[in-house]
Amino acid sequence: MNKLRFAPAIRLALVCAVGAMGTQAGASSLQVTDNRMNPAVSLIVWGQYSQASHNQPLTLPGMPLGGEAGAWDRGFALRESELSLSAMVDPHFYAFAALAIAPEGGLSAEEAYGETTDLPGGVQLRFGRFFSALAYNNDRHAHVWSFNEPSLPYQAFLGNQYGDMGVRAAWLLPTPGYAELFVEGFSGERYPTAGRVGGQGAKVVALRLGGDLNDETSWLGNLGYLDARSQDRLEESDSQSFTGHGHVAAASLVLTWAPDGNPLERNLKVVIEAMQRREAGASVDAATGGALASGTRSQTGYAVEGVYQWRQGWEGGLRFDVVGLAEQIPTGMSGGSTPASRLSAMTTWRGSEFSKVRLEASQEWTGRGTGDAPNTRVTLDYMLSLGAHGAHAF
Amino acid sequence: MNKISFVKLGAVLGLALYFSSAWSAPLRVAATLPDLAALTQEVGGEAVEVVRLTTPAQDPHRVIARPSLIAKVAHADVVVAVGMELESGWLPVLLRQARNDRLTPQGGLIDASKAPGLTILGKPAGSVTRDEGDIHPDGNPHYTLDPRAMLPLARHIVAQLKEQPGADTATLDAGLARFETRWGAFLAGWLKRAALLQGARLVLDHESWPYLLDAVGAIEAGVLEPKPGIPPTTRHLAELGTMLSRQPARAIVIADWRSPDAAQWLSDHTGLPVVKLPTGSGEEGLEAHFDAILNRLLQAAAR
Repeated sequence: MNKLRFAPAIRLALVCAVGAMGTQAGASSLQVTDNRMNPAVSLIVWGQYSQASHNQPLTLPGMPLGGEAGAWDRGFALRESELSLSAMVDPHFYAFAALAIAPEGGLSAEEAYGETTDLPGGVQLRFGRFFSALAYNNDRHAHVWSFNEPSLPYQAFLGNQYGDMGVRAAWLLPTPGYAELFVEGFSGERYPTAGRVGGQGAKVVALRLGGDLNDETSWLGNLGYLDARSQDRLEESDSQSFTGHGHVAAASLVLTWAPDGNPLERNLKVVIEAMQRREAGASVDAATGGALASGTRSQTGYAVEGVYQWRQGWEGGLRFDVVGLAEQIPTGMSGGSTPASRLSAMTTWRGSEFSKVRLEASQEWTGRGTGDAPNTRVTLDYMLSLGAHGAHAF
Repeated sequence: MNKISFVKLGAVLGLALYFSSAWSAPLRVAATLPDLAALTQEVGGEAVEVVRLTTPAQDPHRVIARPSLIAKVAHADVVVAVGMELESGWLPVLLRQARNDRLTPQGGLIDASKAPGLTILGKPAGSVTRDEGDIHPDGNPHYTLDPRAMLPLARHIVAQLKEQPGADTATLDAGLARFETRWGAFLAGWLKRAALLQGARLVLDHESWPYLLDAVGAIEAGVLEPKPGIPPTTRHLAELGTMLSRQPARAIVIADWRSPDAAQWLSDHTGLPVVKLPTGSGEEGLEAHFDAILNRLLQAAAR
């Protein structure tokens, strides 16, 4: 009986779904798109020369800053070269893959995902490996960031940038202004999660809103919450392991300004991001398994950056980032005892939309230096982009 | 269980009603350039409701893909674009973010450059590389600066609008007929006045103006940018100055939103007047826009 009652609703739903699909036809042939060469291919070539007063890698107690974070030695270095491919697959799917070619060899899928294109009501599903919508800079690729390294909250709380295997449902709300809601689920393999707890160690909810203050000024706000579970996550140069449940809450605000709304000659962009991490769990000695500490630890960090283009092709920027504020660390559990901070200044020259050379100087009070002495670092890097025109989101 | 099925039925019906609510209302059009917005509004009249994605003060190559633009594209039944990769730095990302399933090339996405009868200039012969700057491989996309282009564009846009579900075809046909008559008369007068510029040599800031030059019969004497999209260098300007001393020109034409520094430098060294022209039509309408362009050119050439 119940089955019969369901039937009309299901039939109607099917009719609606088929109708919606019917309105969506064929891969794009309009030449405002950059995928006439199907798929669009682009390669980023990125390298640098850097000098620092100390050559120790960046360390923040309790933060897994190995891997990519702070690994840049003095002298010449090749940063990741990123090969990306994207295309409409068919009327129903779009696919994107960004393959990072490590300087020492090896190819890794930085992102590789499929996305639906024809679900009605502004709903979109994404599946594969991708960067989370948790915070503004998090789902933008490293080569479009304004500074050479990600800010300290990203390095400390997200292991540079949080992305993993999972699914995302995004809903573009039918409001007059821009509002989008993201719900994501990840397997829980990458920091700040570990051990794939239950195969779904991380969940993210994020809300993104944006609009114009006037013709010259636009804003975007992003609020995100990451629920993260860890099983045997290694810390403190792999000497301790942590098992527990926690969250990272992130708030981002982006403001752009351009005279008459025309960014060609002059424009300003300000990005403010704040993050709070809170984790409850227990630390054990990784070698012996002996209990070290248990309880809840909580840390906060933020980054403020401003970049101003004063003439076509030239821009300069300042960033201040800090982590370890408002700390609460149980005795025996790893975690920084003093805030780590950094001040960076950079200037960038763009030869065209496809090339840039950046000079950046930073002073770090992060423990990268020996003892309490701040570390001074100067980096010159270049970034060349080949292939498809990189249309960048806000 | 019964309750759930009613809730589901209600939700599906609600959604169906929500998505069909666009019917019989004016078509919501988002036009990438202010000229295309003005033209669509002039021919479409009551049958359309037009928003523009850029203003005349903006360089259409470099537009920030602002969140408000995502919302405008998401709510549009139709997007009218210049095409030919002019908007390739920002429109594709807006279309992807807005994921508006009405906007397909067969549906609500109108590529104005496909207008039958539209003349396209500057299509590069052979292959192009970026060594030559920001080249548009399909030709020069700045055709909206030619008043003669407005008739084929109007016909194409109306034909495409009429294809949209719920389009008010009678109003669109009447609007097009009125526009054709009016624009024909305007164009004849405009071209007659422009005859004074026949053969005038003009220096340009960027390859935005060849269509306008073609319309008035003027000749391109040089470009401030060494290559399309690459900012002027002193060396290139000096070479241009030397060339102009041998083959004089009448004026330097720049977009009114562009920094006048390079043009002023060349003007100081050659004595040529700098003419600032709008690249897009504002609230004043298309006729006033093209009249303003012609008046400023005639004024400069008369000096």
